[in-house]
Amino acid sequence: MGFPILKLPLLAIHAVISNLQLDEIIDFSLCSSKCKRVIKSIKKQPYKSMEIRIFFGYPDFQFMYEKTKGPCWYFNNLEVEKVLRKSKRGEKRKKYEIRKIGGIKIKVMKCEENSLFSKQINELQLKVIFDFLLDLFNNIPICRYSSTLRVNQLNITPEYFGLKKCSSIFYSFQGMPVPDDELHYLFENIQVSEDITINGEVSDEFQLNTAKFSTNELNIRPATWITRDIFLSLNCSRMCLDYVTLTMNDFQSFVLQWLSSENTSFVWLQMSFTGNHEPIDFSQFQTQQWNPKVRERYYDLSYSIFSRGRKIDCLDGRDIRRKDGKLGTIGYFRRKHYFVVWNQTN
Amino acid sequence: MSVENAPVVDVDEAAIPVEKKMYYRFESNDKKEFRVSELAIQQSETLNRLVEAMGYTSEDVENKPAIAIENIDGKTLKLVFQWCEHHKGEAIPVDDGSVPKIVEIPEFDAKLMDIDNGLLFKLIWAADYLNIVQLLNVSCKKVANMAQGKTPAQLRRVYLLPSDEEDEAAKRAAQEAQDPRAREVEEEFEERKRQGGNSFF
Repeated sequence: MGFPILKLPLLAIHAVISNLQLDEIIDFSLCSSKCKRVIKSIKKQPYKSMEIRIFFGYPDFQFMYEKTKGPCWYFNNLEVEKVLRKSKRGEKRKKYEIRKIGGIKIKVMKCEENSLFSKQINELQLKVIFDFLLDLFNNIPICRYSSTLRVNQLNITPEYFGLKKCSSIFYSFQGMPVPDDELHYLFENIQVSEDITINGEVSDEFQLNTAKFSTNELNIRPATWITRDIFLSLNCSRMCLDYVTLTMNDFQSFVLQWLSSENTSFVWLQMSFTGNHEPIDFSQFQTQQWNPKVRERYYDLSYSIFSRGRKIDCLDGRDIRRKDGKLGTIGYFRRKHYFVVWNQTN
Repeated sequence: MSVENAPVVDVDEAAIPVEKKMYYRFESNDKKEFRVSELAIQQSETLNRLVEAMGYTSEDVENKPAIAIENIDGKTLKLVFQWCEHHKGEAIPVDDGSVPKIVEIPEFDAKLMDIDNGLLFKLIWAADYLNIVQLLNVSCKKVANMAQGKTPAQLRRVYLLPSDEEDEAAKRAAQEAQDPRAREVEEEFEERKRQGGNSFF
């Protein structure tokens, strides 16, 4: 005898669904339009956000709970093969089953962690699945978009997903430059609230006319394409710009700009130059040497993706004080120039 | 404590407790009577509010008629009160909105819910009506467990889910039952369409 789930009170239906896993929720939603509507009607969504990870040209849709990772829908052949190998070694061998999503047949394999695997997927199928998940989970926020080791398997970009908003962008390319179109879309169309990391070459022709990043953290390596105009318009709390083609005068202008502003969100800037550069001209600032009664010797660069847990030795740094009492330090440590603002001073 | 040894029993099967605890009397819709401790009642927000509002003394409980619970039968109510007695004094879970929701089914509850789907269905309705949060959680978890490893086709059978076509047919049937003329009008309309007529009226 079956169990007439849809005849339960709505609160109970929602309680049942909140105990279902990703693969079960998806399969339940595919049973009928009514089932899908029931899932969409849940106020407290089972997942907080979704991450799009592109690895070797194939994406994975990683669901996230409050702070931990949830199940995932894998499309990456490497991941699929890993699971297949595991299942061959004694566990019950998994089979691919057909699911019809948006009128398109898709091969799906379930695994122990309630994740899903699909292989040999094409661009159209992928878009159908992405749109289906977005719809099913009521426009679940995209917390992170990451793309690493780009290989042109599928031509997938943030634009392909119509991404307009996300918390974090992470690019780490090797062997080929990040395509210009993709960077343009990324910087001009996506509102990124937390951090942007572009770790990879860009083409020599790449340039942005205007860009006003207001993300919390910005990591660009190499940052050869960052012009003076862009640099001075950056509105980020933490910035790590490596191999800039800027001049020391630009760095000084940035510090002067902070000095004459009321900006309270800026925390630190760390940058390295390409080639030789002139030394910093301290005559533009009223500076003081380190006084242990005023501030600590070491500055904690915590939070940053690249420098988590690292500290800067500010022994030789020169301190400058703004009108409102905020204390900043300009210095050079391990081949990088830095300008940091202290949170606590005496 | 096993399900069998749980203190909730039909009134004619159990001795009246000797402790000086307050025991309330409830009656199901099929006239079965139960004595339930004050502490066990606290698991049900609905019943707890009800007895608080009534303000019964021990004498009232004995002298006044049992409190009627009109939409739950004796078999279901017995399970509900057995559950409440077993979990009396336990904190009532508060939904803080965090995910994932982790619900474990204790051994006692698993045994209590080793029942047919019809009774489980009634138990969930009762837990919802009486607002017994944790009983609702564990019973719904049991229903969720039925989905493990199932395909959509199997889920349709497990959860008796009609397909879109069946839903549509049921909707049409319900409409026709409401208005018998509707079918005639629809048939006439279809017939005219087949004959190539442009206007219906």
